[in-house]
Amino acid sequence: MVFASLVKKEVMVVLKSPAFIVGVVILVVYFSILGRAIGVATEQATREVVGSYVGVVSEDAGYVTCRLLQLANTTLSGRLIKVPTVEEGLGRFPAVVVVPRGFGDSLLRNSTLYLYGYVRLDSVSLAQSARVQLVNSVARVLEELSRALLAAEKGVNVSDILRTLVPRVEARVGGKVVDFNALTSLLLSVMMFVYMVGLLGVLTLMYSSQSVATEKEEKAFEMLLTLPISRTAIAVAKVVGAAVLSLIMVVAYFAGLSFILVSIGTSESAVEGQRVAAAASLWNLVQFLGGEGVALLALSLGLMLVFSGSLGLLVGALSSDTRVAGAMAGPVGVVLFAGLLASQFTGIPLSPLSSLLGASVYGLPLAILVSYVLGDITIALQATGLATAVTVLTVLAVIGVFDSERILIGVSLRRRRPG
Amino acid sequence: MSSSIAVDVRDLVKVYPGGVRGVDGLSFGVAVGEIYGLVGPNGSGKTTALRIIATLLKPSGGYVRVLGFDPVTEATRVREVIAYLPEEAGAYRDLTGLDFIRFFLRARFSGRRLEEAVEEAVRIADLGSDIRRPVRGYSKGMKRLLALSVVLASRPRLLVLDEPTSGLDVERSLRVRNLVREHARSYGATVLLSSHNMLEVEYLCDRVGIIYRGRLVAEGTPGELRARYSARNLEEVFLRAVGG
Ligand SMILES: Nc1ncnc2c1ncn2[C@@H]1O[C@H](COP(=O)(O)OP(=O)(O)OP(=O)(O)O)[C@@H](O)[C@H]1O
Ligand SMILES: [Mg+2]
Repeated sequence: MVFASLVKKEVMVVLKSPAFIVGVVILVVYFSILGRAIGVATEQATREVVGSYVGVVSEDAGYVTCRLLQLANTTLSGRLIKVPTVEEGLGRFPAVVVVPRGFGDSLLRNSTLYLYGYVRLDSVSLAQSARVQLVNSVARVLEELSRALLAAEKGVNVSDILRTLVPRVEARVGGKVVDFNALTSLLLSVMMFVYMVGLLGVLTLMYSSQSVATEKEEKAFEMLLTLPISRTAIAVAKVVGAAVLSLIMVVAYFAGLSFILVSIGTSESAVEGQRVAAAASLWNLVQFLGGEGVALLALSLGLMLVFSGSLGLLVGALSSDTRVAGAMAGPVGVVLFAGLLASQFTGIPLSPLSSLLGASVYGLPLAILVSYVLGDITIALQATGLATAVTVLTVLAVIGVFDSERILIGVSLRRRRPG
Repeated sequence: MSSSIAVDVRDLVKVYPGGVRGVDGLSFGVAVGEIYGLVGPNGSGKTTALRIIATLLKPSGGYVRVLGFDPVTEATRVREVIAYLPEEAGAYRDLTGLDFIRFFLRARFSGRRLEEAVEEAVRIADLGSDIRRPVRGYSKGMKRLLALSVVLASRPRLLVLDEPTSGLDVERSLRVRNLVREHARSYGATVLLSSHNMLEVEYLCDRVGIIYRGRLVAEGTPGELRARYSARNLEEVFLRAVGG
């Protein structure tokens, strides 16, 4: 009985806190919106892959190839549409395959067949990369049919015919052709960077909100605030302190992670290979972005740290203790981080509007990526400008709160009683 | 404005968010070099008044000057000349007492002056070897003494002390009172303190203000107040002043 009332107390002291309720509401609303967005995006991507038409450019007018394509079209329920050029095809369909000159001859000679695929990327997302599946499914059908065709021609069993058909897929981004595999590895390394930075940001947010709240709880805050030192200096010191702590944490985290990878690797060379691949993809990123792009990414890291630290200070300053600060900082951090995760599913439109991502600061690295993929630096600059403006506003808000009595008495969530 | 007035408070009003009136038309003055005691029931507005004077809260109305400076528009000037001991002063759990003293005094002194001030604070705190232990393990009274040592060693022109001896044993309370008085006499500092201990106020204060529901209901030297309320001691004065 006593134990039950102890548990009840533990739950009630948190439940009664308005901050906790606000936090719960934020999370529920946020995740229901997020869930819906991801659902719609995934559905759309699936529909696209399952039911989409694929443009076909045939450079081989021979009988064999024509027959093969006819059969393939029947197998794929008429989803192959002949188009004159790749450009025109991509204008109408998400993917186009090109059957090269001499395809039929190669088939009859039973040598390796090549098929060229092009996919149009409108956004940076994992769902969009599913468009490659369209090309692959056409390639598989063509491979099966060509085996059957050859078997019939030679009067042997289908299983006696070994055949390889190699699809080569390239992606079209805003009129530019890029190697699809290179783009995928680039996307992955940028995502890695974005998550690392996101983690850094969320940790900084936590540390800085706790640093104010703990100081209040330790009852040293009032003495600190009456010292003849500028409140701005106090706030900046807290942001720097929180950023340093989270840097230490993230470095330890990734060092630990790579240690695990090294430890579980059975063969030394496999691990070495992975490491080389990781370094190569990082090098890819550097080469792709160039010095200017890398500098912009570094700047985005700095903005993210300052923004997170300041946001944390706001949360901590307006909270009465560490419990309230934790209840508020948790959901805010999760919302920011989950937003990054969601972007993989919903996709980031490869359009100038992506510069708006900068307003969230956390999305700035993604906007920079979009900008470089599209080859339009103004998107990166606009996004950086937006992120800088948001960060500056946050810093100004922090300075305002630190200079006001709100930092001591917090905000009252209850309405003023009349009378 | 007279330069001999250290704290000048007139018609001070503080409305907290939510509508509670912390002080409601409070007026009093403290002369330079004087030790002034604010007494009053719980929730009467003592801490609110001291926090406004210490630049922590912004008044909703009225007039406040601290050694000639406005705590709202000249907060930094005020902070340079005062030292404030909050009602509940604590310290950073994971720092040692000595670290804490050094951190706070570094905001005001440097070089040799800093070392002297640190030495003085260590002497005032009188915590023996515990001064090198983390504050985590300190008792309530030890934390109080630590905070007080920093405030006194800061050698401000105005000491603002919210219940300086609360939580201290008889012997340490006595020592603290002597330290405060000595400080006022030897450095010409002004002291504004609040207290629930009438014995302390009677012993220490040159003048006493009794605050009730956010305003002053009586003021004078302990002797004057006793005479006015025909009371034998300040406790009786207090009860009569806030009772009827
Ligand atoms: N942060 C706050 N928010 C809202 N109301 C407050 C706040 N702090 C104090 N009050 C209210 O202001 C009034 C005066 O409080 P104050 O702390 O100044 O009293 P006090 O005289 O110091 O009391 P005590 O002797 O118990 O320390 C009380 O009614 C209190 O409820
Ligand atoms: Mg009080």
